Amino acid sequence: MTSDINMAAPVLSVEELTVRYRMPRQQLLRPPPWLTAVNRVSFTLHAGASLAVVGESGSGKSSTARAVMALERPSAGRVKLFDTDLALLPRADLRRLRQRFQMIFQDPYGSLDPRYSVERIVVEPIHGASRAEARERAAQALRDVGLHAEDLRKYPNQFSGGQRQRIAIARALVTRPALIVADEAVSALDVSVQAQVLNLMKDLQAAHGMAYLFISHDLAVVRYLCDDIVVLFRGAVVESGKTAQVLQAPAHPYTQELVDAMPRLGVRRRTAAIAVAQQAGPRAADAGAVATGCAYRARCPRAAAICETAPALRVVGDGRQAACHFA
Amino acid sequence: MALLAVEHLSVTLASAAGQVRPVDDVSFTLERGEVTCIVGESGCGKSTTALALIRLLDDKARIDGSVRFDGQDLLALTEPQMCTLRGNRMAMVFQEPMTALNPVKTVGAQVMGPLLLHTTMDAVQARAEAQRLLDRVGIDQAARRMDAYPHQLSGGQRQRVVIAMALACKPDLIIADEPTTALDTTVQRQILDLLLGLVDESSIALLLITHNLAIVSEIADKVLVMYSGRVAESGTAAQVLGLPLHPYTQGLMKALPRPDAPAGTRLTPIGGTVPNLARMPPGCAFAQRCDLAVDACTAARPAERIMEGGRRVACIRA
Repeated sequence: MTSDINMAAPVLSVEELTVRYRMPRQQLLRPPPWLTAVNRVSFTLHAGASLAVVGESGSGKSSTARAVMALERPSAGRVKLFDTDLALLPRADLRRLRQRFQMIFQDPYGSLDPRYSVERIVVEPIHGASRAEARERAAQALRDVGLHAEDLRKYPNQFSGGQRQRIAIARALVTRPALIVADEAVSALDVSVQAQVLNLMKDLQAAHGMAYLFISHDLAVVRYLCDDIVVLFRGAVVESGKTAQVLQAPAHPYTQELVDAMPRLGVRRRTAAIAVAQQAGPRAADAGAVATGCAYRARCPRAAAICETAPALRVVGDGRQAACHFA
Repeated sequence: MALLAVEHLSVTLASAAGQVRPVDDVSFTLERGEVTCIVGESGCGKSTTALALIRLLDDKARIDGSVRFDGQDLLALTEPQMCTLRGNRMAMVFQEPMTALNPVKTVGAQVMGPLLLHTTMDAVQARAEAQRLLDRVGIDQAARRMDAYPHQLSGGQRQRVVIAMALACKPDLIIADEPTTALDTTVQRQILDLLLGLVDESSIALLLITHNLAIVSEIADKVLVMYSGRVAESGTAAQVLGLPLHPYTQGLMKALPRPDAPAGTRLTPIGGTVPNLARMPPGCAFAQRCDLAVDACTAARPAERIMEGGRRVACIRA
C-alpha cells in the first residue's frame, strides 16, 4: 500500500476539518450538547517545510493534531496524507501507513514507558523488520539525535529531560517518517535544553526532509522553527501566512493580541502596563463565547456592528489569509 | 531596613546518595514596592529557597543561615508563631491554581478563610471583604462568583482567586512561584500586570520565581540568577540582563529564541548537563559546562565578587 501513495502531493492536506465532541447531558430529556473543537480548518504542508499551529488553550490546536494523527475521526472534512484520506483507509493499511507519520508529545516523562528499555521504546513504531535490522535502525536513530548506540540498553530514568525528549524524537524518526507532529514538544524543557532540541529538529529536517506540524503557544519558538503559521481561535483559522510576516504585522486583532502578550527581553513594562491593567478592570479574555458573528468580537478592540456577521477567511496579501472585516 | 534579609541561607537534605544541598549559601534582600525575580532552570533551587523562607519545607530539611523579616528572625520562630505570619503578612501564590484551591469549597469561602483566621472580622464582614477582593483582582461579577466552585472558573480566573486569597490580609510580602507558567500567554500578561499593579499600589514586596528570562526583563527590579543551588549572579534587572557577567547567564541569553532575531540565526545551547547535587564538583558548579573555565575554576568555589554598581557575580573569569 505504501507504494500506491502519490509522492508529488503535499505531505499533509487538511481540508475543511471539523471535530465535534459530545458533551455530558445537562438535562435528562434534552439531547446532549455538542462542542465544536475544530471548525472547518484547512491547510497544506509540503515535504521539508514546517507549519506552526498557534492559539490559546481551547483553540483546537491539540484536537487538530489528534485528527491529523488519526487518533480522532473527523466529524466532517478530510485529513489526507499524500492524497490518501486517512478516514477511508482500512485499519490494517492505516497501521502500516502510521510509519510515515509520527508524533512527539509535550512531556518526555509521560511519553516514555519507564519499564521499557530505550531499545524497546525506539523500535516500537517499526513493523516488518527483523530484530537485528530494527535494532540497527534504532541505533542509527539514537546517533541521529546525538545519543549513543549503547544507550539502547538503558532505561528512561537514566536520562535527563532533554535526553528523554531526544529519545522521543528518535522514536518518531526511526521509521523515517514524512511528517512529524510535535505537540508542545519543547514547552516543558529548560531554555538551554530547548535550544538543543530545536537545533536538532532543524538539522534533522535539513538532513532527511521531513515535514513538521508544530503545535505551540510560544511565538518566539515558532518563529525560530516554522516558515508558515496558522492562528486558531475557538477552533477556527483566524489568520495564516508566512510566520515572519504574520508576526511582524498581524492582520487579525487576535494575532495582534498574541504578539502583544509575548514577553520580550529588554522591554520594560514595570510602570506603563499597570495603568492600563487597573483601568481595564475585569479583562476581556475571560469573556464568554458569542453565539453568532465573529467569535473574537467580545474581546476585540475594533469590534463594530459589522462584526455581528461572521467574517469569512479571505486572502489579504501574498500567501496570507485573515478572517476579519478590517483586515 | 530591608523588609526581608536573607543571609547565607542553606538547605541540607539527607538523600540515599548522601547529603545534598539544594540551596547553598544564598543571600539577598527584598524591599517594599520592589519586584525581585529568582531565575534559573529546573532543579537550581529557586522553589526550595522560597519554601525555606516561609518554612514550608519538610521537617527533615536542615536550614542554616538567617532570614530576617521586618526585624524578626523567621528561623527562630516556633511553628504557631510562624502560622500567624503565613497567609497574613507573607503570602504565597503557587504555579497551579487548581491544586492550590480546595475543589469542594466555594471561591468565596476560600477567600474568607485567611480573613477569619487572621483578623477580627466576623463572617458577614469577611464575606463583604472577600467580595471586594475578588472585584479588585478583576473577577467579573464578583458577587455572583462568590458562590462558584473552582472548577467553574477558567485557569486565569482561578489564579486571580489565589491572588485574592494572598492579598486578603494586606501582606507585606508575596512570594509567587511560577504563577503564570500554567496559563496562556494572554492570560499570563494580565496576571503579571495585576501583580505589578498591587506592588505599586500597596507597596508590597514581590518575590517572583520564574524560568522565563523575558518575564524577568519586563518586570523585575532586581534579579538573582541561580545555578545548582548557588547564586551565580545578582543585581538590578538592567545590569544582569543588559550586560550579563556570569557565563551561565550569558549562556541562557544566547539559548533563548528571540522574536526580533534575524532569520536564520542559530540558537546556542549550553553544552553538558547540570551536575548531580549528590556529586557536586569541587570549585565552580558551572565549570564543566563553561567555555571560559580555567584550572582555578575547578580548584576552589568562586567567592561572590562585588562589581561596579553594586552587582554581584560568583565567577573568577567575569
